[in-house]
Amino acid sequence: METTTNTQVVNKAGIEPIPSDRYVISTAQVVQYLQDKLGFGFGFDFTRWVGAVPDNSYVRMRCVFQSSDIIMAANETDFVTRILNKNSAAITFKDTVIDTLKPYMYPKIDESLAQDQEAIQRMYKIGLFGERLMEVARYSELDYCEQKGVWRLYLAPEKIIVDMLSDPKTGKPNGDLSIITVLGTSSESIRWEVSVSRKTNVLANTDLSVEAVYRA
Amino acid sequence: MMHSFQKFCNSKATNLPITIDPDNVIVEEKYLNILDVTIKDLRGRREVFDEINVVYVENAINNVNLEEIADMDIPDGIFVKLAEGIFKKKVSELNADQQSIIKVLAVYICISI
Repeated sequence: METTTNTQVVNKAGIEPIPSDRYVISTAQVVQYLQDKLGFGFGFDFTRWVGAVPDNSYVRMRCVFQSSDIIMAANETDFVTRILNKNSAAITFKDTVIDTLKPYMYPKIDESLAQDQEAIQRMYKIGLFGERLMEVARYSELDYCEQKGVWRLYLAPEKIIVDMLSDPKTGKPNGDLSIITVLGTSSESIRWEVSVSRKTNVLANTDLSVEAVYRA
Repeated sequence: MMHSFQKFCNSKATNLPITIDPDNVIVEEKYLNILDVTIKDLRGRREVFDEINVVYVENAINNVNLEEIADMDIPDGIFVKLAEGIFKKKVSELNADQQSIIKVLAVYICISI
């Protein structure tokens, strides 16, 4: 009979521990990571929305960008695009900026979401419902604020955190990532406690079988 | 750490220009995933390499033992894919700074496999 030596289990129930890495990520680290990817600074604030159960909450991340950072200057575009822009008042965003922001943007929130009961329940639990959800939907794409002359966009901080903790070789976390809890209340003090469970092959106990030692 | 990824690459790469015929290259399957992940992560930063650091690449390159990789060959296809994926250009169309970037990234990819 083959036996496998597992990590020594020291609890009374003999329950196998799940090896995991824990991280506490601050809002400042999230912003710094994104600024380092974009190569320019931007305005931001974070708000913690408490869910149906106080233990569950969601963090809203509002960003504002200057036009000069995200819009392609007229002389940078090709002839056809320049003519189109001139005649249609269309705006061409820098593809490098959109490429960087896209993975952290919200998916299109439309009527089809109303049919997805599971998603609605999940969002309700973490506090993303009603007017909050409408607000996220409204700013899920770059929106120009004429009064302030800036572009507004809500990004999903949890998507940025997943990217931050991803293995650069695979583009994915090395295990199952979960946000255990959100701490803090203000834009500066909010932080996420994150666990990445390392993938392991937890084997069933392969010691002697009952039949081998116990005579019924 | 140096001020920018561009300066880092310029300090690590040789001035030898790379000339590759992009029509005759094949990239081995083992490189495809990391190439894809690296390109997706960096293509949006191609205009700001002088302003940012790419910490994971710089750390990997700084920690490698040059003697161990002295005989390593870098497949041509890696340069071609990086040039097209990040700069949307052929290798021969890249300027010296852009060539430095793909030279360093090609080494990073080979030592990461």
